[in-house]
Amino acid sequence: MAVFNRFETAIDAGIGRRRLGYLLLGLVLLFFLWFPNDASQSNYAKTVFISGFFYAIMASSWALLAGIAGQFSFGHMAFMGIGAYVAGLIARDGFIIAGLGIQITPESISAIGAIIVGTVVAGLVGLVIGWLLLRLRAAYLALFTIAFAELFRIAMLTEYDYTGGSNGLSLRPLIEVAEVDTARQIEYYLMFALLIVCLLLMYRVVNSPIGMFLRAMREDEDAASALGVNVVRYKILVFVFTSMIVGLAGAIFYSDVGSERIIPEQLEVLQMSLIIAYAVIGGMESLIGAAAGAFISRYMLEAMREVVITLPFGLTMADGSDAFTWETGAWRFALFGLVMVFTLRYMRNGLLYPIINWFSGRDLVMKKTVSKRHDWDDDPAQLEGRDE
Amino acid sequence: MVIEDTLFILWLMVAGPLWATVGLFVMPGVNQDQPKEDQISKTTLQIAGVIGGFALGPIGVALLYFEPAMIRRTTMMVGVIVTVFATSQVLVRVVDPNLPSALWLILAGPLWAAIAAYILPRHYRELEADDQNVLTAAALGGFAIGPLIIGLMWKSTPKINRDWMITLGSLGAWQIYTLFAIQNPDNPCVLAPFSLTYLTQQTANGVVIGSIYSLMAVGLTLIYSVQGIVSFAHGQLYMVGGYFSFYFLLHGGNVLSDLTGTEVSINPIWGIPVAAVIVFVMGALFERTFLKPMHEGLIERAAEYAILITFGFGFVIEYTTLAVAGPFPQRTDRFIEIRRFTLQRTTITEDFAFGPINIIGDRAFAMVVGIVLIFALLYFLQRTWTGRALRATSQDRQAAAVTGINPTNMNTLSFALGSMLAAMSGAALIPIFAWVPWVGAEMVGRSYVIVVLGGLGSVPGALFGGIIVGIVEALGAGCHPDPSRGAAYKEAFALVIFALVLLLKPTGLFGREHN
Repeated sequence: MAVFNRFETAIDAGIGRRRLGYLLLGLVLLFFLWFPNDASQSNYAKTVFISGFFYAIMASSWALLAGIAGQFSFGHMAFMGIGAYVAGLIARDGFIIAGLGIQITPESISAIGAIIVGTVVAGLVGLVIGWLLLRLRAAYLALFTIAFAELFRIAMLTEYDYTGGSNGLSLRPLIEVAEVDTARQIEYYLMFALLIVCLLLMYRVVNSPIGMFLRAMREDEDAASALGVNVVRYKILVFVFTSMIVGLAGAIFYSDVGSERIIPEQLEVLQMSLIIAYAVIGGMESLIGAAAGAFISRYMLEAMREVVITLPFGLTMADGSDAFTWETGAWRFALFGLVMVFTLRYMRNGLLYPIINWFSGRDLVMKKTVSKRHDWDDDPAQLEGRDE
Repeated sequence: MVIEDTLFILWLMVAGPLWATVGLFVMPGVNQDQPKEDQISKTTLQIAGVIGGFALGPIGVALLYFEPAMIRRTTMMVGVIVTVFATSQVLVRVVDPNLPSALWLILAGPLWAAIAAYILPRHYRELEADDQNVLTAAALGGFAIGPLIIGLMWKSTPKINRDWMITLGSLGAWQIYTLFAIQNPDNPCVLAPFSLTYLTQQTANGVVIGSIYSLMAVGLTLIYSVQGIVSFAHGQLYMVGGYFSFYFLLHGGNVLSDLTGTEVSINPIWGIPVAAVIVFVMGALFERTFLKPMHEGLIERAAEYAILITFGFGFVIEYTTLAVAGPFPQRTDRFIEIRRFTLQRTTITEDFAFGPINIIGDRAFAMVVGIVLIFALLYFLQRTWTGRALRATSQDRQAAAVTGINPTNMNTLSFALGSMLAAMSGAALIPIFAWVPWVGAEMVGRSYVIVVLGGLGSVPGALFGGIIVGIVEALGAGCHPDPSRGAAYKEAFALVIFALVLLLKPTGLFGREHN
């Protein structure tokens, strides 16, 4: 500890924690920008990173909705699905309302247009659901969103004439690339850029007065309302905002180079539970924490598919090999769940919270403003003396 | 078109409305000479006149006019149902399936429901009338009878009691029935009023499976009533209960044979108590470790913590089971040798008959297990000291603590008992369904539907809710015009009810009213 404290003082005196934090963040950014150019990395590794970015968007927007605004929605994946399915269907079938003069044909709409339509529809559905959720709190809200998500999934699965059922639906690719390697590269940068844009957008919201209102509402809705926060407006607003973000993410992720199909399985409660676990492990009340948690968890889950430990001292296993090999299968998820449960119980703000807290300098401020507990707090005799 | 049909339609189109108008004007004259307090209100009389006139014509009006004692909610309900039934039959026979009538039901029903639900509660509040249940009644009525409900409730702002709700609810059900009928006039459920076999068979299936659903939901409601939390691990506990039973039956016999040295064969029924004991202990341990700190006030924002921690518990159970048991469907032996029970065909008239109704033996057995266990639980809650202590804690923790009940122990007991009930229903159903580790996720949705429908925290509510959900699923799946879709949408029917109940009446049918 002493060594750490000396480092701490040195950093505080020199570069400063925040600046060091930004420096490290910049280095991480540079790493991510450089990564796909590393020729030794396989396409598989890139795919893991791409899905890591996608889940980072999902987890951080869920952190905004649940951690910061306190609305425990289990319908996040469904909104993602709405964005993707609407974008796919409109690009394939078009959309015509003769009476209103709305006429979108598959030929007239571009991939970007379809993505925009998907995002807007996700936002509109979010508006309706958000309005309906106003009267529900905590467990009831969670139950209602589960019902909504399940209904959507079942409908997508059953109406296979339109949605392709369990075969899934392929979206119109945003960029058509023939070669696989280049396609991965483009997909990688696209999703990474999307992650950065979404994070910046969400940070803009969280650090504005709206973020403060949302936190106030989470702690005590009635008190916030009494102090003049328009609870109805901000509750709906945050719901629409996050729905649009995940709708956009879903539409882009599934349409980028046309390599993935959106399938109803992706909308299951099980998938949603993964998002929640990512956000909880990373830190539900910090966007960057949730995003990093999702990315790291995603990477770890992939890396743990097969655990190989080389035995030291020339030891061998029963079958003669010199390494202990464990096909983890579902055990990695069980382990992951245990990590989630214990994080919840003992580190409510996530495993990354201490690091983020340290870099943000928040605990430094706390040390200065919150006085230490004194001995005389417990000793009535000294307390009496203090009053005089 | 057959002659009878033409007459029938003529009656509905011309004579029905005509006599309804007559009823509307004649009926208010019924009790002019009665003393004021015995008089039936004018609105009631008018409604009765319209319904009676429409359903039975001059006979109806005369009956009601000379025998005003017959104007009861029940008779009116019957009248309404006859009316709507007749209308639906006409629609089936006359209206072409491609006509916009289906559109009316699909679009206009929800539209009017939304309008009524928006207008009426505000109107009630403006008049400072009792607005309890008005929202529910308005939405149901808007769906069932469209703009009529606004007129009915706008003028007299009646107090909405259970009769209203039941009437409007059954009207809404008839609307859905009509929708099915329009979609496919050859649908076995639409033809059913003339041979009730199919309908009764489906209903019986629903009741049988519903009573096991109830058992699981009772566990959920028990946890909620004592601790005030919804366990999101309930489905996984149900699933793991089935697996404990499975593994016990797989290995238990051999182990016991080795121990005793004699050949021991275990009846599958023993899987139920074994699963119950193991999951009881699991639930108790989980509660002590993770939920107790919450009740001690050590954790901020307890409601959110409770959702997440139980959810995480379920997550761990599910994946651990997946790792141990693998994704292959498993099943235990049958409980009883009898394959099916058959109720003989009962003929009332030539083409009005019930049955034969077949109930698969194991399902019947599971139903018996479910009902016996629910009654055992009710006995425990009502008659034993511990059960009373549980109920006392659910009513008032402070007061219970004052009388010497330890609320901490009651929390643990409630969670363990609730988990145990889930495990028992799992162990009772594993001989019937193919058991995979994600079977719990599907089932838990159903038990949420049941507890919310019955009212969170109410044991009888869970019992009736389970049976209602069972029936709705069986009828919905059986009556859907497209059979493959019907089966796929099986869960969706219950979920729709669930979403509506949550929005319109979160206290459910039997829940405690909030003030």
